[in-house]
Amino acid sequence: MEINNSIRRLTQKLNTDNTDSRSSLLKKMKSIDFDEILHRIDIKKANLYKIGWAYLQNHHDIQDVFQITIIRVYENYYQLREEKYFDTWMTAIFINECKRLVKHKKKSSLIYDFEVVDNSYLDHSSIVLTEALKKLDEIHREVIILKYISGYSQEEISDILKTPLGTVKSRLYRGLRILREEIGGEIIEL
Amino acid sequence: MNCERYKLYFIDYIDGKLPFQSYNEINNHLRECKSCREEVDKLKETINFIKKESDNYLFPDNFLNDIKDNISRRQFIRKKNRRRFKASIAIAIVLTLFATLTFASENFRGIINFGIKDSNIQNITLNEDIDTSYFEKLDLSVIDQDIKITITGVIADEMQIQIFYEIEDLRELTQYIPDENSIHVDGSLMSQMAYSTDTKYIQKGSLLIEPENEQTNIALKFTRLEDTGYKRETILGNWGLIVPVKKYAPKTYDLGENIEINGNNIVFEKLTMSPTSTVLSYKYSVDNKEEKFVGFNSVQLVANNKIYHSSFEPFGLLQYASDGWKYNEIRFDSMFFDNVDEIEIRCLQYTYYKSNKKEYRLKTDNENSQEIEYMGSKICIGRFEEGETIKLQMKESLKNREYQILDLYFVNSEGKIISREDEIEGFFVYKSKFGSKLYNYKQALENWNKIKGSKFYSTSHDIKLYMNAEGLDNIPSKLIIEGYYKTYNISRKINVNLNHQ
Repeated sequence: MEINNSIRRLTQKLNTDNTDSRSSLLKKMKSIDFDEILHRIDIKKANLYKIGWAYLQNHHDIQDVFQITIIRVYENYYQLREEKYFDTWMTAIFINECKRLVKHKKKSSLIYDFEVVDNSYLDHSSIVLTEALKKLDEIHREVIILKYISGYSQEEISDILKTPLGTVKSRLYRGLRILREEIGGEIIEL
Repeated sequence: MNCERYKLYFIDYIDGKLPFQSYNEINNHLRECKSCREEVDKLKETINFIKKESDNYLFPDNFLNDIKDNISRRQFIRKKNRRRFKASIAIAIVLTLFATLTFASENFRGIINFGIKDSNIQNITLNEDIDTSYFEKLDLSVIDQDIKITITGVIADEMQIQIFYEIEDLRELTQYIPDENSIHVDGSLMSQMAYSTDTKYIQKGSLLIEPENEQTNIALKFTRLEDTGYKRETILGNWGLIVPVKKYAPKTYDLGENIEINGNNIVFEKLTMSPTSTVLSYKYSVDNKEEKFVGFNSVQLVANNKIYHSSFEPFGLLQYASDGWKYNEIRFDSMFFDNVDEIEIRCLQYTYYKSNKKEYRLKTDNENSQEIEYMGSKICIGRFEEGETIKLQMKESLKNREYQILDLYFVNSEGKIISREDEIEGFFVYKSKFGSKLYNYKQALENWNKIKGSKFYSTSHDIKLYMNAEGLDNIPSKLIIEGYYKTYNISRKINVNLNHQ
């Protein structure tokens, strides 16, 4: 009977997951070593970098945020209640540092009358997006960045921002609509 | 038209994350409502724009290395503002680590990978209890690419051949393990295991081989080895050996013990003990009973106060049928060397099949999903692509569930059965006094000994319907469920004295 083949296939599926053994390793330690943090950051570095770019558009600033995040994770690890929240906790720290740096730069740009922007990694067309994002309220911007730029799920976003899932959903909807208005005719070129 | 309530679902709809019912509802609404359709299109456009644009956010590959460099400097700066004591310890740790990192490699990722690979190696030590008279000690080796592979021993019987090997890096730099897909043997390779060793440049392991026929020699060849160190290199080479095999006759006991389960007659025929495993063979009669016995899921053998568990088998699988009987067998760990005279066979779980035919006419349009009911459980059927292959997805509810898996098939408008492929997913449900817990198959395999009595329930079918060679129409017009499988927990014991056989 064909059903036997289906069942056989079922029982033969077995994957070993490398990260499983690493996270059980993490559980034993109340503290964490740098090796492990660097490893975790490395896995997420693309996602995090995109968040950084959406906020800062500047490679050195983003590097700074990475550094601060690593140190904060190292120093505050003992506060983390459950290992399974590590990634969203780390992302929350990262995104908060991005926001802080943006605020800090706004303040200091009052002092300098020019702004040094490192455009070496920027393709000109994505200026449209970054400028449009700046026009959003923070609550809408952060969910759009986390979901459509960085690829987090709505549940993860809810964990990261400590916001209920329904709120995340409605903010995404609202954010997209406002963004659509801002971007307007540009999309048609695609 | 009240569109507001649908708008809540647009985001999930575009993501493809809606369950069937909701997905169909939204689909239906979009077909009828132009403004919502335009809204969804605009949302999709915006999302695609964002994703496309942000793909341009490039970053230099090694930027984390620069960060690693900078961390120690930053710590010095922060020391002034923060709790001094903690910071100074952090600095000491960072500097030590940092020094180790720079010394060991230019790419920190390598160190991490090395750690991961380590934990993949199973820590199995050679069973010292194996009677050495059955373990052929050998010392055959071959050298290529400065790597020496030695066969250190063999245990062989009717069922399987276990070959023990050692791989030694003669340059004393690292450890190598064989690439699973590149081991050539006469016979089929069933599994390979690696053992932990104390010696840094030697890796030990064993291969389990199902022999082809009466062999006195097995030709064995390794062609690819993997470096388990941080370099993760692959070495191609040619390590070929001929391993002499001496098979030991298994001890066979004719049992002839009957047991009756739910009107089905089951006979335990034979117990076969070999150095590497124990096999209990049984047969059961084929007849037109309502409830047909299909097989045992879980059996234990108890001898000398030691319990031997059957291997993981969520369903007793039909092996072969002949002369009015169906035959099956159960495999256990070896008791060859354990001096067993009396055995208690404990039957703990079995599965039966019951005919209960129901036919369902299927809706022909693509867009809607359909809900049916079988034995009090709801099943949702959705259809996807057309083209050559038609895909169906069936989702089964676990509520009020009375069966494990269904025996079903599809027929076309002419009543001909359509060839199909069915990928079944589901959960093992373990009921304890604290409630029910669900395990997927991987979790079940890992925890098998802790979840005795758990039963498997299918929850989803991914079905592909094919046109056969003659161009037979594969559009399903009816779903036919012939019957179902159900698993029962029991506790039946038979005592067998081997010396009387």
